[in-house]
Amino acid sequence: MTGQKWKWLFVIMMSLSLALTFPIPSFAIENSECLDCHGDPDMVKELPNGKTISLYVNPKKFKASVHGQNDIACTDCHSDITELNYDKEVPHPVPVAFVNCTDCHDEEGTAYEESVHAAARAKGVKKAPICYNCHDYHYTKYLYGDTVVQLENKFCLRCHHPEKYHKWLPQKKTHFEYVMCAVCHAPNVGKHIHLRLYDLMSEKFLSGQEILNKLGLTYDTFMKRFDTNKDGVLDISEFHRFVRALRVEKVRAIFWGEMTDNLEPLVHKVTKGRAIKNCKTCHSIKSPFFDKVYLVLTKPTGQAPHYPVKRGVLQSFYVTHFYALDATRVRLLDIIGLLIVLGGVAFAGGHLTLRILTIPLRRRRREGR
Amino acid sequence: MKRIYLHPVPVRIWHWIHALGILFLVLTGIQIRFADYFILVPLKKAVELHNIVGLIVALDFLLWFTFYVFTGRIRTYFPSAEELIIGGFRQAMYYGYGIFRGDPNPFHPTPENKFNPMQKMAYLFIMLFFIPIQILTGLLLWNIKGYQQIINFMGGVKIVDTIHVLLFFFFASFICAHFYLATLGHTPWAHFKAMITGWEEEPEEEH
Ligand code: HEC
Ligand code: HEC
Ligand code: HEC
Ligand code: HEC
Ligand code: HEC
Ligand code: HEC
Ligand code: HEC
Repeated sequence: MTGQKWKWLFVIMMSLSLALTFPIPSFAIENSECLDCHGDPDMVKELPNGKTISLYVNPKKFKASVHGQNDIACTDCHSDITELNYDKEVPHPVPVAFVNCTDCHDEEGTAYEESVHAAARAKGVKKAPICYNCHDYHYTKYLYGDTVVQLENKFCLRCHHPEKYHKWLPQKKTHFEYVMCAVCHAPNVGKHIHLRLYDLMSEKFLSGQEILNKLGLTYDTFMKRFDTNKDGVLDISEFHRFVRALRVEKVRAIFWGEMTDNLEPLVHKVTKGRAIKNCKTCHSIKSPFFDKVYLVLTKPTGQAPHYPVKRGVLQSFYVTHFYALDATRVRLLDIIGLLIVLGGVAFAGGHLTLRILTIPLRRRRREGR
Repeated sequence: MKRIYLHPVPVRIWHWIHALGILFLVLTGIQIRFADYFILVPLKKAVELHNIVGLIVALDFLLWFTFYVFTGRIRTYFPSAEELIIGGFRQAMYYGYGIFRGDPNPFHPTPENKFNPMQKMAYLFIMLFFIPIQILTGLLLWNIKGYQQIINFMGGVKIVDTIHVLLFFFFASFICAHFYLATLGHTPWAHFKAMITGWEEEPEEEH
């Protein structure tokens, strides 16, 4: 759970740095003041060329964003606006200074600086993304709860057509659906497997809240109920109990598995020429990419607590809709297979031996004739 | 020595494409399933070769199947009720007992009826169930995203894969047994020769 720990550290440091940056809250400008003007859907600015751009910020959507949820104020980002002077037509300087996301997210900034995107940007490629081309700015969302496909659609696929590359990769569509781009393209980032419940009938993921409600549990009591040996990980028998509890509550869903990266700053270090290409990095029973497995229960906020699960669960028939050659193969099958093959060999060998042993019998019979 | 023309040219071609194909699929299959333990070819090559040869065998099978169904030859594979019980028993007795004593084979192939009852039962299963199922599951695994609906209907990739793998082990086993049984002609090479030249030799019977 290093990701989670890191998160806490991040939040604490963030609060500290915020406290230091804005020590006297009474002086800070309330969001509502900005929204008096910018909360008007019709607010636009006319450009010299006659086009208009909207200056509207949707208050509800902003409140629901990560930053809104974490009480980040307009002026925390638009930090050059330190006061509103209503004597002027526009009560603040225009143009407003460029917002630096890295003021708060400096590790992401460092990783991003080493990415192909920053390099392309430096070379003047305008289409290369900066922070908010990928994440949006006012309506930034938590990412924990997203599936690989959602993340890819939201980010990479807006600009890239991966089918054009990756000629060497069989089943491209399958891989892109189950493996997040950054898993290969940010090779140093930690990887893990997500398991979440998916209803094949309605083609929808079940939300964590839905599942917990059915089981009569909360995010905090979930592990207490199923992790009976209290080691913090659901092993195969504990997982079995979870599956049975779902069945009792008539939850009809399969476990959707996928390979994704840890939510850490390093995901931004998208590289070129160093992406993972060796099949056996993943397709091996020894591949470390399948060591960390989490059951994901999403929250309405967009957050999604991860509950650790043993790797063995992937190699069982509880997870039938996710299978990576070799890496998650069911070992029992190999034993059964060995017996089947040995059966064929034993039949041939046994019959042949008997025929050799009975040669004298047949010779005697022929001579006796 | 009696000579019977048992295996016409197309049948022989089919047989050997199938034989080599399946042998090849088993070998690459081992490589794909146990990439950690075997390194005949890299996994990527193994997957590519397996796919190509799988496709060849699938097409070859389809050709065979249509030909056999439309010409009615498929009947060779269906044992009659009599064959199923009495013939099957007699043949089993021969392989399990008579052969050791030097009894003659109770079955004599003719171009119209070339399989003994046990062969019929075995080949019926293999040609009409196991191979088609293996081809179907193979096709599904070849493009998991594309055939997602069917795969989900069958219970997920792991289920499809499990069927494919169990049959793979069966075919590996079958190759051993089939090869051995093919040496039980009147000489160890007689059946092999017949499968190449088409002419089966049968020792003359004394009545
Ligand atoms: C009295 C109304 C009013 C208030 C209050 C106000 N703004 Fe503005 N704001 C404007 C107008 C008018 C413009 C358009 C200026 C122009 O034409 O370039 C603008 C433009 C902006 C822009 C875009 C500037 C650019 O470079 O295009 C930003 C960012 C902005 N405001 C942020 C804020 C923030 C943050 C607050 C609260 C601290 C705020 N505004 C409060 C009226 C207001
Ligand atoms: C997480 C940082 C962040 C916060 C918080 C934030 N903004 Fe912005 N804002 C930005 C960025 C980044 C831009 C885009 C600047 C650009 O396009 O060059 C922007 C642009 C704007 C614009 C220009 C129009 C547009 O949508 O591009 C206005 C107006 C604006 N912000 C108002 C606000 C108001 C009002 C609030 C508080 C309710 C607020 N902002 C909170 C980062 C932020
Ligand atoms: C004033 C400090 C501050 C600024 C500036 C800022 N953020 Fe944030 N950001 C935060 C805080 C605090 C969180 C909440 C962290 C948490 O809950 O783990 C957050 C969370 C996020 C998340 C969600 C991460 C997750 O765990 O899912 C993203 C994405 C994000 N910010 C992007 C941006 C972008 C893009 C910008 C620039 C437009 C930006 N931030 C500017 C403080 C800031
Ligand atoms: C190329 C698109 C892209 C750009 C550009 C980008 N991000 Fe991200 N960001 C992502 C993706 C993808 C994730 C991870 C989602 C996942 O894998 O779960 C992410 C995750 C995050 C997170 C949450 C993980 C963490 O580090 O805690 C934050 C915060 C964040 N980005 C901030 C930023 C900031 C700040 C910038 C600018 C320096 C930036 N991002 C630029 C795509 C981008
Ligand atoms: C806003 C558009 C945009 C988004 C979103 C985006 N990229 Fe890019 N990406 C670019 C541009 C532009 C380049 C530079 C291409 C060039 O140099 O000509 C680039 C370069 C790359 C390269 C290097 C390949 C090359 O041709 O140089 C890789 C790999 C890459 N991106 C992966 C990703 C991944 C993975 C994501 C999702 C996390 C992503 N990109 C999101 C626009 C984007
Ligand atoms: C299995 C690993 C893997 C996955 C998954 C993957 N890639 Fe790649 N990708 C590579 C490799 C390897 C290359 C070859 C170039 C290299 O080494 O960076 C490449 C090349 C590229 C290039 C062209 C770079 C160039 O050198 O011209 C782009 C763009 C790209 N990938 C984007 C994506 C996007 C977008 C996704 C997600 C939908 C994705 N990739 C998923 C491994 C992967
Ligand atoms: C970054 C990890 C990764 C790499 C690298 C990778 N794969 Fe995969 N591959 C996966 C995952 C995960 C799946 C499972 C998709 C699913 O559940 O359907 C998969 C699926 C497959 C499948 C479909 C059958 C199956 O296992 O479900 C084939 C075939 C395959 N990969 C071959 C390859 C080959 C060949 C290479 C090297 C060229 C390669 N893969 C590289 C992760 C990877």
